[in-house]
Amino acid sequence: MDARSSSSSDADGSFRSFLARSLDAIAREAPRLHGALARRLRGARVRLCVDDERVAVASDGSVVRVGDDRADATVELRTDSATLLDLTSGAIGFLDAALEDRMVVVGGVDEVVGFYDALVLYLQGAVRSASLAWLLDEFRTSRRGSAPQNEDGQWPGASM
Amino acid sequence: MDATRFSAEAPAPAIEWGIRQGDWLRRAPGRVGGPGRHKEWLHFCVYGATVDVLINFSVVDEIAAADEAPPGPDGRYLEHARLTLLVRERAWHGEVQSFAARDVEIHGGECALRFGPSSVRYADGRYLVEARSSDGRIAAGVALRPVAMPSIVNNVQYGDGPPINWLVVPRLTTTGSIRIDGTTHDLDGALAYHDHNWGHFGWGRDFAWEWGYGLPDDPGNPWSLVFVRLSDRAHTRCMMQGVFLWHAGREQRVFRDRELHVAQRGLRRFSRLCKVPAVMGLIHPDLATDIPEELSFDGQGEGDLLHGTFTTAEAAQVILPNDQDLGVTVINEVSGRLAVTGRIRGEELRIDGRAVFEFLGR
Repeated sequence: MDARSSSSSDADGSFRSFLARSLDAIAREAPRLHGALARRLRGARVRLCVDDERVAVASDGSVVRVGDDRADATVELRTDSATLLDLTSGAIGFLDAALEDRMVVVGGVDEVVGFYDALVLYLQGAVRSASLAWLLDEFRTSRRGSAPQNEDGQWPGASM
Repeated sequence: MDATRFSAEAPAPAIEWGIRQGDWLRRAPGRVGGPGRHKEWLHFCVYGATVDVLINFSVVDEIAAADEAPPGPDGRYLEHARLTLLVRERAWHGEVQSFAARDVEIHGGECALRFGPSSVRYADGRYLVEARSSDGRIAAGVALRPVAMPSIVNNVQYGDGPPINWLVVPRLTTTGSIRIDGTTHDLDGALAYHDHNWGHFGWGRDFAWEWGYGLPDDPGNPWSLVFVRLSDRAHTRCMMQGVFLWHAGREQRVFRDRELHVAQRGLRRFSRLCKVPAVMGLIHPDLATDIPEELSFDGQGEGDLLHGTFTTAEAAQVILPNDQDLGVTVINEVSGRLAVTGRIRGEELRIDGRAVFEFLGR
């Protein structure tokens, strides 16, 4: 089953849900960057392996879709949610994550370069999308297994 | 002279009047159908004995790139509220928080806002500031009493954009504390700085600023200083520059433009930089900056003399995505030492103290 938007992907705490909803937010709030990402991923067959999840990312040139795992990926990213959260919190950078084998990208040179370009476009869209901070906070909270509230019982404001 | 005595000498009713007249929130006209790209922030810096605290409440009416920024379905822009909270013990650390509209209260026409558990309110001659990090590890609660006249500068034209505006309160005295990772730092008696900026502009445009504020270590020393320099992004063309000096709470002298010569020496190298929001470190991981090791300024005019040197120490970077391209704008918040000597209207001037200088666009 493919998922394009949050309406078709529940906030179930999974990486797949986070990714689909974040792409939906970028499409809504930074559409030019979503378009650039879609064009950059056109024809690519990307597999993302995060913790125990396997999801496929593909694009027809105008829409980026998150779908079920597929065996014919041309580039694969393997990491875990702790590493993703360390990256987004500034605890480590891409280089350190790669050198420490916490983030592994496998594929042909052209495919890996294209994937990195797409990753940067995704990040550029994410930092221009107001909703991403909350989506990331939800994802972080789901990994902590606690409610997203501070000790006053208030939504604390998302840090991104 | 102690801080309390100095405060008593300041023209308190005039200060109060000046702040009531000028330091109120303008709010984004885009939220009611006016032009977008409005930015406004309240900035506070407290120089504590053991910690520097920088708190910035900002409201912008869009985040996305300008050519795609979608106003809401009613054609109105939404305001986005952010809190930057930075503290410097040995090095800077902190974060930028974003807040959902339901957690934001902004009182236009007043100096009062609330972002979640953090807030600012001007009442009874004091700014009451609460600021808290999203994980609760940093929590500041301070009352800042202005002891110098505010200076308001309207309609500063730069480049091809609409003007920007600011109000500066160069000196305040603090009561309160900040808790960092379980340790409470007493801020009673600490000197502080405040400014309020607003206007329509986009990050990434052809402009940059160097903006510094310094206060003496001795709270009895009556001098306060603010340094402002606006230039093009390449720092090859200065649009305006000035050093503003207050004595005993009153604005005493402004060295402007041709009265002032500014020079930089060296380039500061860092092995570590605090970058906020943290995720922006993935887009802008560079440690290379063109923050100078020293910035010096010499003023001369109408019989007055001034020489100052800011020596940089630690830096934090507030990194903002550009509004019109995929680049970023970096606001380097640089702590350091300020040493100033001079003679103003026949009176000797000497400042030796801490300062924070912002170097934007580098």
